[in-house]
Amino acid sequence: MDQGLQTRATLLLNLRDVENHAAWERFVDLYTPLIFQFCRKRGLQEVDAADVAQEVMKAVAGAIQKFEYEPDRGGFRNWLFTVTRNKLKSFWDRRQRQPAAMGGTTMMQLIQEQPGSSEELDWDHEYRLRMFHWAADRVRAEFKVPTWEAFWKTAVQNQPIGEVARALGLTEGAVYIARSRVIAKLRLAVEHATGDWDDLRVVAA
Amino acid sequence: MNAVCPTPATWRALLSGAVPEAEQVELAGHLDTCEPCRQLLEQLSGHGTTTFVFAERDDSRNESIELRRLVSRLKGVEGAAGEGIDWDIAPYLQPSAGSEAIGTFGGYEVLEIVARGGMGIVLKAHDRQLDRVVAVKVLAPHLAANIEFRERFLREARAAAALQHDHVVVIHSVGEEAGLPFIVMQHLAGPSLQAWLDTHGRLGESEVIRVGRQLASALVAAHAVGLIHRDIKPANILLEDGLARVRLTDFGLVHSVNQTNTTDGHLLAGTPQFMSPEQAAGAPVGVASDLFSLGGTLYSLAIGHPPFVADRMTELLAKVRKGIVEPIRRERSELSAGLAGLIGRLMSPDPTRRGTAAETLATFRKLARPKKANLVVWTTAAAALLAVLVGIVWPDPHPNAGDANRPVGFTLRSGGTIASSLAEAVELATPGDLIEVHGDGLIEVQPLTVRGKPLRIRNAVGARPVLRCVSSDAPMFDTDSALTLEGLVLEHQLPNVLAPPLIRITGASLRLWHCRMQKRSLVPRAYRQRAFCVEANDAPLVEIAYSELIPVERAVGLVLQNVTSDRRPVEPFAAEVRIMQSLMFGMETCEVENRTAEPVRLTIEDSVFINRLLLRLDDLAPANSVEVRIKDSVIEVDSVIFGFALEAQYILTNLNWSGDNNRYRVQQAFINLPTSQGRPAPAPGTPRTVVDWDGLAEVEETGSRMMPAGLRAVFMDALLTQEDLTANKLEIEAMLADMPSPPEIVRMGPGKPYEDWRASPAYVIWEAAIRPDHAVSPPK
Repeated sequence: MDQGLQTRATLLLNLRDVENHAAWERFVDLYTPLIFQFCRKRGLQEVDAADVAQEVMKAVAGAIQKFEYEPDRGGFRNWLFTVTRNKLKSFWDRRQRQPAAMGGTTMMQLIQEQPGSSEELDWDHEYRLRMFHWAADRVRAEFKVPTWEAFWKTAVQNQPIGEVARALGLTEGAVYIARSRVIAKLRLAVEHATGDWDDLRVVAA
Repeated sequence: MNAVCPTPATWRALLSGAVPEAEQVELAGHLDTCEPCRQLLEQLSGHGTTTFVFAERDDSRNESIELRRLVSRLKGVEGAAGEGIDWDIAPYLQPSAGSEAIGTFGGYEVLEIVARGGMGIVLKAHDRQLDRVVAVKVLAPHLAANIEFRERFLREARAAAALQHDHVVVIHSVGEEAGLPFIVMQHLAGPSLQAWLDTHGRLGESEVIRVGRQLASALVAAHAVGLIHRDIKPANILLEDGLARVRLTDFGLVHSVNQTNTTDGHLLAGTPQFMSPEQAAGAPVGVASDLFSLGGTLYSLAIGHPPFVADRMTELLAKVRKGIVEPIRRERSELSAGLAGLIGRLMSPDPTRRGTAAETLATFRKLARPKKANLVVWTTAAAALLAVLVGIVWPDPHPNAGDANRPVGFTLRSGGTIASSLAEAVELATPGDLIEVHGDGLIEVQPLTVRGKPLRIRNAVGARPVLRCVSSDAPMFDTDSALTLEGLVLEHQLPNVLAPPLIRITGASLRLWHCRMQKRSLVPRAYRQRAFCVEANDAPLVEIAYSELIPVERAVGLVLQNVTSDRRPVEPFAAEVRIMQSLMFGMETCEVENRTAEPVRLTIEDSVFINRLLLRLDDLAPANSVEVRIKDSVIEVDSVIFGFALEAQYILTNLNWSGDNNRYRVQQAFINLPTSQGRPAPAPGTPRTVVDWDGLAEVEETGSRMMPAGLRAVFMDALLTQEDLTANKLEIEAMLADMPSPPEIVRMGPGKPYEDWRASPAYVIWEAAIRPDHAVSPPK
């Protein structure tokens, strides 16, 4: 196991240590909104989305006690997606047995008609968006305002580099540098905090 | 087209932050024309790969209360450990010599376990030293394991311990044993009001009024010092002598829990049944929230069950959030209109309609003695209030406080009215009013928002008030109108990362005369961001005279977007920051962001700055946007003007500097210039002496000198207390001795020089000059 993988393994091990509140809290901060928003997008009301997200997180917490790692064979993201989808499915199953409280049947059909691949794409999109904002909130203060603006305007708002450079009074080269530095920093922040979960395959024993 | 492209290793170094700012200029120059290198850099940075989706945040998605609740629930006992309730105090007990005791904890002989909750255990114990029975509340280990939580818990408990009142359970001490924080408090044998209700049923009207009056008087005292209970309910009210006397317990503790845990029923953190709608919605709560909970408590005393009842938690929360209850007389028709009306008012969904604790107390007194006239009742209430406030013992003796323990109070020039809190005084004040602060020592102040009301607030003659903002996330003053403060000590305790300013002023002028500002931070320096004393937005004038800013992070942050011409102090300037006869220790004196077409003037006279830097300029402003006039001052800094080397040139074009008879000690450079191509930093020509500095086109210095070498530098990072300041006083005096006409800073802060000045004819002129009509005239 190389140095990087060892680090990641340590992070997951940290989670297993129930005393390690900091790791758990970081985990909750990162993933709960993701699962919650994913459920909301699938038509769940806030209270229900919170219920499902809670079930997912509890399942994850439980599974972590028995985690085995097999790096390079998939991703933590995919595993989390599977758990979420299963919990969602059982939610809909339960809901179907109950009288439709909120146009449940129509919603049910809607959900089931969605092809799985689109659902997965949606999950990935939500995941990566969430990662971005999570990281952005953390690194923003490390940059001067014009540097951050140069990044935001070109990468997020997709404004042409030339225009942004003029507006900020920078050269185009400086805008490229600013943007690249910010993006590199964002990646570093995510890698540092999550130990790059993407590379991990986590199997509940 | 570029003969020599930088190596990929160079680009990687840039991305990892290893390339100094100065050399980045060079790389930027290369990128201006080299497309292959642009692509390489983009690729190396990971732009275009799928790690992120770069898109604006849809803020509405993050506002979900359900989500917030879930996150805090998961971070609490349930998620992390799935345990926590079932712990035993036994392993934490030491053997005891006493025959009755089951062991000792924190030096107290534990007699029995009185209660258990999700938050901790309550022990009945014997205090051998004082030979009295006490209650010891011990925080559960799973909560104590969280350092942040533990500290918050202790902080809240200590704050509550300062409150001594006939109707509040006395906190004797706060401590920690084997990593578990505990609170030692008065032991009351009587059951809680909830237990009484459960066994005896609802109370008679006169009993409800008596209990209500006692609780309201406790809240008057608590709110006057900025303490919010946050969890008033029958279970937190203990009986001392049947229903004759009640005491409120667990002040503020729910606050420390709610920031870590859920508010689900199984935790001691509380059932939402008595919560205000704003509290149930997870919004910030103020004193009005306590009044709602008081109303809910009285409601349940009068009818025998809580105001909100539901089978399921979610349903209950929904009801509480709406905050609409059945009118109480529908439940119990024989209640008097007076009591029903008061409970209805307290339980108003709109916090601003609930009145204050003092008003509530007055109404209770009226209800108890319906024949008395209103006026008499109010006078009595005010007298009682002052008595209560005098009785409070401050644990934190302040260096600037007078000796006499004079009563705290606030009077208004407009009506001679006495107000019990600054908030009340500000509310009662008319535009342009003068509020005088009476009393010595610490006065805790709730954050104040002032709109459309120019005000002047000063100390009463001889008074030494210290106003402390109790909020960690709001300024003491947030105003859009002219504000003048005189003879006051203002301070802010900042347990928070996103430190708010002490004063936020928008579109109006601020004057601080003879004030001292202190901003002590509990957060490590690296995490503090923009902890300004004064945050001025489009303010035509910020004037600090005869004042001390010790120690502060950043003194003045001025942002100008649009200053209307009729408010400008001096043409052609959009705004002015004036610092005279003042002393500042800290990080930065002034940060200017000027987006207007007109320049800003920074005038400094007769002042001493021991700082990281004097001025930080926004590098995007138009040219010549800041004019600095600085004379007869001592400036000891890392660098006079901050700017990454990359931006130094832009900054210099913004600047128009003229100095006269100043003394500088500059650790790094006056400003860091960019390096020329290929040279290591620092660039040649970087101004390190007054001669270099004066040599820059934008700068003119006459009669100024560098401080003689050999004096020890004062390190800002270590300088955080008044003691440090005293220790460094000699240093400052040595600097001053070098000056032919040193700044004469003798009248700073409230004190005798200020009182002398107030008694002088010059004060009349000053008073006339500061009428809060935005007009500005020179202070001298």
